[in-house]
Amino acid sequence: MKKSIKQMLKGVAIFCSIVMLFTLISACNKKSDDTAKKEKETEAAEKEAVEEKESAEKKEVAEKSEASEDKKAVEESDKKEASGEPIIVGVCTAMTGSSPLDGERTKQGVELAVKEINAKGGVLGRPLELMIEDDQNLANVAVNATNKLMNSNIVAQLGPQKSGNTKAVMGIAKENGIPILVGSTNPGLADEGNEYLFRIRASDRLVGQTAAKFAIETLNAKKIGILFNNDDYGMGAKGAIESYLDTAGLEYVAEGHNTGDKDMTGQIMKLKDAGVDTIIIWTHAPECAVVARQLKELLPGIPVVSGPTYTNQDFLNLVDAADIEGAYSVADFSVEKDTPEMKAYVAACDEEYGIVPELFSTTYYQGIYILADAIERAGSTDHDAVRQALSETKDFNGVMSAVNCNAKGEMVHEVTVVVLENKVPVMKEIVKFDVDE
Amino acid sequence: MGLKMQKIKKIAPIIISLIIALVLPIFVKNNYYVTLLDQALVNIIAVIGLNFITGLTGQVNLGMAGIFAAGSYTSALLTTKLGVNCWLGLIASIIVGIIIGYVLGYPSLRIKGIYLTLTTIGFGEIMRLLLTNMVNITGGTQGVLGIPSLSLFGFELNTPRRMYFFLVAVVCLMAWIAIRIVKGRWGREFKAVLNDDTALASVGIDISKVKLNSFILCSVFTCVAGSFYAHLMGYIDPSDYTFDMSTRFLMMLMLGGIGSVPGSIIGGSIITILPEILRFLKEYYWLVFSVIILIIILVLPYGLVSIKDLPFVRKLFGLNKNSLGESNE
Amino acid sequence: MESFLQLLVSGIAFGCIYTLVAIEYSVIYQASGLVNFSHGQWITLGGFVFGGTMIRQFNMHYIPAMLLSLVVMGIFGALVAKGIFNPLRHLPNNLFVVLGTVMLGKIIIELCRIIWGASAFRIEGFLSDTVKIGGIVFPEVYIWIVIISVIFLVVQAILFQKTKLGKAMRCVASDQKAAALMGINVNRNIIITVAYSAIICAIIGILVAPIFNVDINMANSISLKGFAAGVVGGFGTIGGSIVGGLVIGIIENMYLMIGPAIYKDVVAFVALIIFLLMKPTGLLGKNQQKRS
Repeated sequence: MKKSIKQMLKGVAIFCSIVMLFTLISACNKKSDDTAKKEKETEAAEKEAVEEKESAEKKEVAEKSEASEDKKAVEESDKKEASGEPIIVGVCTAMTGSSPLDGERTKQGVELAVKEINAKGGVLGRPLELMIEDDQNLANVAVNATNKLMNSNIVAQLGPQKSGNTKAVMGIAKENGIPILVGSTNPGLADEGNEYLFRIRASDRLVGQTAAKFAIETLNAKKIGILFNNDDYGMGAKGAIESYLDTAGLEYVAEGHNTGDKDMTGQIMKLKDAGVDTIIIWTHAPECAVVARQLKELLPGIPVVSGPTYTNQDFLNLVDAADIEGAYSVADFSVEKDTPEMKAYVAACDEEYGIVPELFSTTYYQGIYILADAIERAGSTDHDAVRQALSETKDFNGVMSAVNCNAKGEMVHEVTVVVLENKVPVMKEIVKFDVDE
Repeated sequence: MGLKMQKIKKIAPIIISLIIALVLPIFVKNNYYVTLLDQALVNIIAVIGLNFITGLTGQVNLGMAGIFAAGSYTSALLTTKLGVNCWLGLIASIIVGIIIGYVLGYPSLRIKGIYLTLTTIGFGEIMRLLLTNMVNITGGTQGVLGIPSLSLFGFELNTPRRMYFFLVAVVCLMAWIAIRIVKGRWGREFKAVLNDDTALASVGIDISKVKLNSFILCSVFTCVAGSFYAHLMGYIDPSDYTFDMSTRFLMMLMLGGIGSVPGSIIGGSIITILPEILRFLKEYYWLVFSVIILIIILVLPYGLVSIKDLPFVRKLFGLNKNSLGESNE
Repeated sequence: MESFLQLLVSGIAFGCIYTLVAIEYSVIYQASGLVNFSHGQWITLGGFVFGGTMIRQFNMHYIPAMLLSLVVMGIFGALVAKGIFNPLRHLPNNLFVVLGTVMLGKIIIELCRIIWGASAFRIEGFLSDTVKIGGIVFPEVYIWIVIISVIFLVVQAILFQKTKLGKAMRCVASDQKAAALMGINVNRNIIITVAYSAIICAIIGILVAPIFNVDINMANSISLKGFAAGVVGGFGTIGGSIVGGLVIGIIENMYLMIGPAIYKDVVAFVALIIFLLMKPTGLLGKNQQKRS
């Protein structure tokens, strides 16, 4: 009998521990929200305290913030401070895992955009608030992160970045009826017919075609070698390049490699033996650095056209200037673009983080602006209204490019060809495509 | 009376945990947590499988990702490309599991210890590289999209919540089978391999067959888990099935307690859920998680089920030594 | 022909790296019977200590930076041995060590990311020249890899054969119990061995930094291929490591002459499995693996 009581106690203990576990889950969830909110409140309060140091008397924080809002509304009618319930934007990006830098840059980009927008009065008079979740650059974690975001009262989600992860989560977006804005460039994504998916970078179909066209028309290539990453980033572009070259009737050789490969001697020697005269590279920064270095060693002087990677700061950190001198790159944008928005943005990036704007920060920075614009036009944070507004985006003047949404949810239709001079991408031409292409 | 009480005692924890499992979704409103629980259940199936080979026979298998991937891809490719019924896909992946069990188990007849571990690592890596590069068959890194959800007698298991109840049933079934096996003749043989295989051979038991059996059981369970995973996620791509995934399964096994089916269940749930709980730590969460697991390995090498063996815990619950063995098996 | 020679050059250079990797875990295996599954991360850590702290932060000259990195990694190795290897060594199943070291590896990577930041970087100008003989290109770093590997092997041979410390290490490697009875402190010996292994990791990390760049994933592929190299040559032996490393390095590059490059990594693992099935003792084939 005594034993059985003990046994029951044991059962109860197990039960309690499991219950505790789940209270912990919910508590943590709340806690993180709470702390975020609290931080935000204190931040706001501090800011106001600084602004109104002279006039404000020592009151309770809550009272003060209310009072100050009223006062401010009266005093400065032109400079409105965003107030009211925040509009939450979800961001799913790789903060840890195999490419944490992309996530860090993404975070910096979105945070800068939100800060600027909130300083100008927010959206619909309400401040934007970010909720950033890590996807470790893995599909299953991206699904978890997206599920978490979609169940947290967000108006829309930015990211994930990798095309494979986007594929994994776009169904969830559709189920929840929440729009997602992604920077994945695999051409196939837009053909899935998911009306909640919006792409805020140029599809690799456009970028790849531009690279091939540039190699043929400007560099007078007769036989092209393609070095591509064997993942959906490289494969998507490779398909576009190959179909363009087939139409143009040009010979080409394609050699693939895997993510994480550190030695490309074999691939480059194969291209050399095939006698190619121009090389198109489509891969990520670490592999691209290996290719650039070994091309310099094994095939010095051959003209190179690369995907956007060659302008990526992370890539530039990995190569010597001599390795890439005079190489061309088809980029999403150039920091040299002569618009006031770009100049202001470059200055802000430098001031805030001390970085030169790169792909991820800029893409998602612009993404926040596109979303803010859509919410403003929709006049509400209703998901379907926002989705509708996003799909009607037209001639929006983003920092990176003009934004026009077509029927497939493709929003960006221009790319920039640059040439690298002493590690600095110098703008050569901007190539624009028809919106419906 | 005494016998009855003992029976009740044995069943009580099972019933309690079942009730918790069934009641849980009522409290958890958020679909995110339900999906997480689904994943935990899928992982539990795989860990129960891993328990046969690593927990009982003591052969460290670090190729779990490869086996899991084989199960996922068999189901996914059959259902999406050939339009085969999901359940036939599941059966196909069980067959694939048996084949892999033979393939992986065969080397174990000649080699053991660290060599076997290296073989399984090699298998996992080859599997991943093939899945990545055989674009025509597997879709390469593009993955397989649009895997249909399971349906049970015309009842679509298309929401995480429905899938949850189904998976709870499956886990119960699998755990029951596993416990039967562990407590039966096979289980004793497996454990004998761990302790002393020469002694086993001297009493006339064919060690190679025992090892092969444990490998087959492991890969069948893992392939079933992989198959459910594919149907649960709806999309799979090879970048998930890395060496990291193999080590994660090993972590689950070890955290719960090696050799113990309840331990596998505990470990599977904790390792799946804990990182998500720790998300509030932002960029430090994976570090904190790793440190927690490392400390547990150092302090409690036999996992959380061995927590009741610690002196102060036993004092707390007034357990005597006799009541230890049963749940550990 | 030119391709062939060029591939041979890179095969030999990578072969030397695999050799060093195989030696680095073999010494621990010999001393304690444990396999360090976080060795790839140790190599990464070595690269970060050298490139991140010594060169970029303190602006040191290459040579003192290298020596200091070796010292730092040696201390790190000793601490890990004390904290992880010695406690886990007494447990009956090698599963514990596998998992313990795997978790250690994850912790190292997360720490690297937090301490040195997420961005990969290059050590500007470090061993980045090339020498051209005929049509064949010899990158400076490949030459150094071969030279340092050879020097290292000679030094190690002297260390193991002549010094008292080396003799004690070999003694523990052949029989722990007997060594303990002979008055050798096995725990201390393991600490020294692991520290030594960590120093080799640092050497590898520094040598591969110009090729792989300093990045948290830099050693992922060489760590697993290092295992393959060990098995092909003869697991856990120095001679086996040398032979296996070179064989893996050369055959995976020779394969490129006949097959598609994307399957290059498969070659090493197929070789691993073939050898495990056909000749588990490896090419050198001494039948001395009693411990397992």
